[in-house]
Amino acid sequence: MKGRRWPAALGVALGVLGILYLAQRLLVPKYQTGVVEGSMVAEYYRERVDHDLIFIGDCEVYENFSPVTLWEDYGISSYIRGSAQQLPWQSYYLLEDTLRHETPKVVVYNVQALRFSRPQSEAYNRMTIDGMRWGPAKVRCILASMTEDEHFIEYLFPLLRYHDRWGELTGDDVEHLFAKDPVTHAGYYMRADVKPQTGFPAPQALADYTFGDMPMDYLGRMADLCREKGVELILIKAPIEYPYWYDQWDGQAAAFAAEQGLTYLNLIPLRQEIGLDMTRDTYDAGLHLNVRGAEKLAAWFGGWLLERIDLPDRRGEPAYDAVWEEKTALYDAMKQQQYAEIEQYGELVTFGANAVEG
Amino acid sequence: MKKRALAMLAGALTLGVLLAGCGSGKDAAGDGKQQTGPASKYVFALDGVEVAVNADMAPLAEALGEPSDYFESESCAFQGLDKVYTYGGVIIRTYPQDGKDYVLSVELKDDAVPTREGIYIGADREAVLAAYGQPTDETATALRYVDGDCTLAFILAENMVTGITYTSDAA
Amino acid sequence: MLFTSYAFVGFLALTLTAYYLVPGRWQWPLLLAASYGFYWAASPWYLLFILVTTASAYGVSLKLADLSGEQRAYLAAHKDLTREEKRAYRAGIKKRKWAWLLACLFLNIGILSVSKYTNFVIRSFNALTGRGLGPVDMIVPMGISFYTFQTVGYVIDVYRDRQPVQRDFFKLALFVSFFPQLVQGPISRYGQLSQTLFTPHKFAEKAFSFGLMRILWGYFKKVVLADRLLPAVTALTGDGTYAGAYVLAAMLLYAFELYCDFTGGIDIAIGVGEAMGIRMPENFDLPYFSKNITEYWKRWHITMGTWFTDYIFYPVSVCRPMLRLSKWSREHLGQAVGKRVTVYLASFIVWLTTGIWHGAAWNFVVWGLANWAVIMVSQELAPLYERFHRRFALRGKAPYEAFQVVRTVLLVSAIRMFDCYRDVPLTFAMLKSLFTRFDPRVFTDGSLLGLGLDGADWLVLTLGLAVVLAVSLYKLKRGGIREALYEKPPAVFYGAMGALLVCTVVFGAYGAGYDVTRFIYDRF
Repeated sequence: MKGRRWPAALGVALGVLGILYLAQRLLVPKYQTGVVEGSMVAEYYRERVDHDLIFIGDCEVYENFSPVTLWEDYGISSYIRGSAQQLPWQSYYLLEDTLRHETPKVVVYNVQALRFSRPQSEAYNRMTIDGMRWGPAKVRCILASMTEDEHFIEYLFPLLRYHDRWGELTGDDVEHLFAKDPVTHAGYYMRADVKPQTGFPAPQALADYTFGDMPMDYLGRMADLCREKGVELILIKAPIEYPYWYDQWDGQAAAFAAEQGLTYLNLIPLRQEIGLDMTRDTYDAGLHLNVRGAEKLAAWFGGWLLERIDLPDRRGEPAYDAVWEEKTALYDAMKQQQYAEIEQYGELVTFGANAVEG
Repeated sequence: MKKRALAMLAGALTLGVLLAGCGSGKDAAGDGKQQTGPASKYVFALDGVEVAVNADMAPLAEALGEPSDYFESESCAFQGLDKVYTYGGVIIRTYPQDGKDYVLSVELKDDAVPTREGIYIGADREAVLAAYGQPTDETATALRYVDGDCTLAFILAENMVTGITYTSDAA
Repeated sequence: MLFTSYAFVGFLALTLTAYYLVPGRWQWPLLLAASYGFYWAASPWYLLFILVTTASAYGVSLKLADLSGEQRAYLAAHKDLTREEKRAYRAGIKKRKWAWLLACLFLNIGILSVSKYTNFVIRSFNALTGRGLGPVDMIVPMGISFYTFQTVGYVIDVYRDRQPVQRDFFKLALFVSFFPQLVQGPISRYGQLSQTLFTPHKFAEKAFSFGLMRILWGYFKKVVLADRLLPAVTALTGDGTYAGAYVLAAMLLYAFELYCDFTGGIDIAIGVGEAMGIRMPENFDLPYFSKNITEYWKRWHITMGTWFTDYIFYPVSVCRPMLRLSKWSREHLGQAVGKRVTVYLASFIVWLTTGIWHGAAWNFVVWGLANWAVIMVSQELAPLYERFHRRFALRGKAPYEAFQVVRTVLLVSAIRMFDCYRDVPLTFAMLKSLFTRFDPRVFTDGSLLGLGLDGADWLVLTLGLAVVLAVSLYKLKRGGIREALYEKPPAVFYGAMGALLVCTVVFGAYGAGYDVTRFIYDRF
């Protein structure tokens, strides 16, 4: 190449890279309004204090436990690393990722997702994985999670996946081009509305109730990793009846826990003890708890936990106080806003389904 | 000379035919249409309406009329509704995809309706084997027949069929 | 590995990098390895097919060349032979060569025919006899029509002593399998491609960036335009729902889709060659600016047209039965009719073969024969046109030429509907509906928005097609646009490349939600 053509080629190449970078920032979904679940995993990296308790799992943790209650009632610094339909292998890699940043005393894993034996949905994969920081855990998580039609390169360059969103851009995409607002409260997704549980269809008879090899392998790896790091792993099943949690599944979870010397706690039979009233404590007819239910569950669970494990009360430690005061203020403000909307409109307007655009 | 040429021709043609005829049937000339998985021979029929797994539920729901019970639940992060239609002793579950609902499973709960091959809840294991032949796999509690995108399972208790499910393998 | 797959883009980047990193003498072996890797990735089975074709072409071409050499040596050593003795000797050699050639043709055309047409024959047999024979599970290797034609062309050229034989098996293997042209052409001739395929190439900025620009232009046409048009064309031609004016919309949209799809693929192929200093033949010469259908077929899929002319039309025209027929018809039907008989028949055979080559179905046969009929009628009417043009002094007048261009586009698009609907009676019914149920309001009342494309899609398509038209007009009036851009400051040239890249990445119809898989022409 003639000497004088190099600079132009290089300049244009850099310019093109810049444009593609900006296009990517613009076109990748921001998950700021309505569907906020895609923001959850990345939000963890904003945390300024360590956590003694980490929840890992799907919606059965991020919608059912209120870390702010755990803080207010017991001074437990906790965080929920959960996302929509978070599969066991994704939970494992998120745990691996978390343990690179901090070493909590307890990790609580919700076993509901063990029923999934293979990769499920591209949309959920993206919501869970896109927010992870790049590292070996993310690479392995992608490889374990990809469905047949997915490509690794589309995780590496999300523009290739989201390039066609130019027809559906919203104000959020411009407003949050470079910075996003927090949408959770230490990983908790708040809903204050109420829709009573009325009943569920009869459970489907299954030909085989055995959990698949893949989820059990990753559950085993979670146990090994926690042992290696000196972290107490507790398995739970959230107090939600639907999708149906079969006795056979419960037995396998309990057997695994016994074999590994872990604690397994099925919360479904304990609902009365917890004080859950599923005519008032759920926002979607019993699939998830609302904030009232999440606070009740956190209050009960914190007490149960402290009876067994000595977790420090961080209240009074300035670094923790500063962070949790801020979180509590945000939490209370959002709760008030949601109650106000329900009061005024009879339903949530800027949260949940009504806020989903398109 | 002529014989040699003829022999060469015959040999060449035979080789050509053999070579072109072998193989696993991979066809490079697809039609570009989306494949949701091969259709299955296991299809349930309810009141004359064929209900196959992975079929679009909308026309089926219309043909089957008002269900005796209906339940829907929102998927996490608003990815669509999981729906459960109950028609007497038959439960049809659906999954959402690209704005449509597709049949995820068909479950027979009582002995009011048989499978197309004539097996009712309450039939014995031998009747299933007689109607369907050897299963794809068998456990102490189930006989499973896999074909195309569907697994047909007969749940057994004490050698009797206690449940029948058609489940999508593609979903 | 489709050209539009991520895997191909990565494969291409690696191959291009390695190509300029290895010593010059290793460049062509590298390309052979890459080509076989490319084919292996499609299916390891395919390698067996291409190896048989290569081995047979290699063996037979060597034999043919040896026989020619034997003849030369014998005649040189026996200068005292009488003319009759020489003729008899030549005839003997020719007979042996012919037997070898025929064996090679039978084998390769046999493989092609059996793999592509067995099920067509079974379907036709069932239709004719009412039997219900089931289809046979066949392997149809990717691009088999293209590499078979290319290889057969080489062997025939050696047979005709027009092409020196390639005695290096691996070089011949590269000619047969060269990956850019393997899937959908262009169909190269050995004499032309070998000039640059095996020679070492040093990195040259101009050739490399011209190649890259052509690749990007190909991707732009394929991914942004052709694939975005696909849902609309599929919706319009899926069945007989969209009749009347919709058929006109389908004709025009499919014309653009096919153009962008096929020329896009060829641009990628030729661009890959250019980036490596390898010249492949052009396959298109602004075909939609043709003024009549004969001209169109000289400018569309050129390498296929010339292949059929050289290897089918010409041999058929001069074969012994045809010469006898020609003589007979001149004697019995008179000069005017007699001389036409053989031309018509040879053309008929060419168009029948062209139709069958395009697809194993009757709609392609009818498509081929419709082209033949229109071309023959045009030829017959040529004197009439000539008188008309002279009478009204129309030749060279821009509005009339524009009319001729539009007429030709409409004509080829109408004939192409046989390819589009893939159902002969339906195609006739739909073309009829153009005249009986034409309602122009569908172009203005928003009906076209109900074809799977929204307003934003149509905007991208309109702008994209305007760019394609502008580039084509520039080429028509002033020549290649790349040269013109290259003469401008370098930032303009590279900026244009950058713009193509960004537009393709952002506005391309690929990835999740798009059901776009193949190039239309890699089915053939």
